[in-house]
Amino acid sequence: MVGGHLSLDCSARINNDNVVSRELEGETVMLDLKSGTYLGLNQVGTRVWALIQEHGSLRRVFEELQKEYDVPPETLKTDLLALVDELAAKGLVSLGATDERK
Amino acid sequence: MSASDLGRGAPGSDPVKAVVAELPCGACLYRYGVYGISLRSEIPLALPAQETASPLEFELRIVPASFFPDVARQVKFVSGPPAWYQYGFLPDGAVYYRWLDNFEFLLSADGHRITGGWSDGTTIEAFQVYALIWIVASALIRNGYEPLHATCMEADGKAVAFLGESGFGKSSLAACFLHAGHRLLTDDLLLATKTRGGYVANPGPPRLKLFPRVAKTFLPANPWGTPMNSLTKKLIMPLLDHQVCWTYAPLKAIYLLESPRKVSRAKEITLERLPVRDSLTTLLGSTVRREMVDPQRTQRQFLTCTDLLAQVPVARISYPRVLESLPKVRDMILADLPS
Repeated sequence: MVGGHLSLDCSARINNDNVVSRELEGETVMLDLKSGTYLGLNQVGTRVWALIQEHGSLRRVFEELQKEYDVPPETLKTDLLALVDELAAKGLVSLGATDERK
Repeated sequence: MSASDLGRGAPGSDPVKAVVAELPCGACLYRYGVYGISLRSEIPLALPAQETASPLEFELRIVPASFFPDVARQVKFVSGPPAWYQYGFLPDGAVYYRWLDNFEFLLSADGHRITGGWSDGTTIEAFQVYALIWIVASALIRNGYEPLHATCMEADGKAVAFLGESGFGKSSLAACFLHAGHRLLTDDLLLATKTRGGYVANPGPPRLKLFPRVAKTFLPANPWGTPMNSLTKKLIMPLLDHQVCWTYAPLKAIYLLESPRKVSRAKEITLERLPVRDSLTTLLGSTVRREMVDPQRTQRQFLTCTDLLAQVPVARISYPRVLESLPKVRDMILADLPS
């Protein structure tokens, strides 16, 4: 993220110009169009990907995941932000400094 | 017009363009069906004749060896391939392929016209193998298709495909299926196309490339084959009518043959369903002409393979590479095939 700190208050948007994805048997496989590399998301990552597409707000994504997975909030938050950070680093997701959709 | 007229353009003209201008489509007297497409040819081929053209039609024109030196001079060769095989591009986007001392081909920029020739030291059978696998594969890719490096059998109306690198035993396993009365759909190149009812496997040329020992074991009644080339002992085995599936069949399953290097002779036969990611990697790795890379094709490979994966299961089968194991492998695959 440019000039900011990644947090649940950020917005996230999938860069459809950079990635083609497909869900197969509960997992997501992706093609990074810029690098030509293939990526995979496990079932949890696939759910995160779908929620980002649906909500665009990391806090909403976090809240939905809290309902679905029985994990401590801090662990969930850490794992979610780590995944989003990785997706953003690969250019697959764009982050906004603040969550404008709150 | 005879084949020897080809390449004689007006003085100073581009010989490639001269071919296009001089040779009307009507010179290709024969029309065949292969891989679900039409192939018009100047020479008779060992393929089923086709009366009505398919929506996608290629042409095969034959030229003497003297045609190619002028063409080759215009080629910008792509570095990397081994010396016995070279390819490169012409200024108009056509692709030139050369298997040294054996065959030369020119594939037009639009991917519809194949111009080929072979040297005295080789055979028309071998020429057809190279034309119908390598060059037709390139033509299919240029026309937006993604064929797979696969051998495919038909059993009880179902198509089953075998994936694996050259030398992994695809054709030997196919011969074992033939021995049990099943039929060949295609050897080495599979074009699976999507229909309303799912993916179908299209029939390729009615021949199988086999080592003599495998041919003797599984195809004892077949006419003896023609040597492929001087680098291998493989024979091009023509098949009998009843050994060939002449029409497409629904593709029900894909099996990746485990590398022989990873299998000891004592190892048991195992069959395991592959996770999605491994299946995708397998399919992507089985697309052909992977040196033909561009972003548009990369995206198409991904979409084609994921779409195929969504409908056809992929499993890996591991077995000792001794001929005695093949009937058991065959039976395991047949028992595993979805209904």
